Amino acid sequence: MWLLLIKVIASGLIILTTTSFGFDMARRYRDRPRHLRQLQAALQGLATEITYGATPLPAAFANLAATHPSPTKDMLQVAAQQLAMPGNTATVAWEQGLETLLQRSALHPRDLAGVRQLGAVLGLSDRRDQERHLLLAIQHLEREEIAAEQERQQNERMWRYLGVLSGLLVVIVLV
Amino acid sequence: MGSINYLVILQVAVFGFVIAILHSILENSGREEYAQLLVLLGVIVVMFTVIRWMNELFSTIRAMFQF
Repeated sequence: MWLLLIKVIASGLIILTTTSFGFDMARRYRDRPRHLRQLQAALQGLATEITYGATPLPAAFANLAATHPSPTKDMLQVAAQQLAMPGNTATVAWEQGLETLLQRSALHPRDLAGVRQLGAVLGLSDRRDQERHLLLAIQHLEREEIAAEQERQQNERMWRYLGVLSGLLVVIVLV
Repeated sequence: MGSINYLVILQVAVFGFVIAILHSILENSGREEYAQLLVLLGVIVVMFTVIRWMNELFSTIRAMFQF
């Protein structure tokens, strides 16, 4: 009787573990297109702030951080804070912001290749030039988003099923 | 005795069923090589289970004919 109870609990734990692992992997694939879209929106907002508002960079970061959802918001907040520190250039602040974004989102380092180059341009050249660079980075993100969406369709369901079923498989072998 | 045998058959059947589902999922998401590997793994695992029971069966038979 006790043996049966222990077996049932252990089986439940095994299935729970593999299922949560599978859902975690699925979440990574599901979040990536969304985070790419959010980053595009943030860059679009930054382009607007620069070309039409002519807002100084720290204020632009702070404004955008107030209106954007979480992973992008964190990045902009960190960038704004870093920029407020004495001695930090926009390049360093942007780099720190991107590091934060990389840690808290499902994005790959190669997604940010185009965005990373913006650090050398932001706040240093004229409006037209900055706008051109921002648009270029957005286009790069759009291409990545299409690829990410395709990857999601292939992998999201697979990882979910894989998690549940592999747990079931282990339980069946061990029982 | 009979109920235990049914349980083992059921275990192998469910194992095969789950492997089949996993195979179709992996194949649909474009990972044929993993699907093949999984099937091979499933066959090996089931074979070991069956071999254990065959071994028991032969032991029983040998014990029966020993005088």
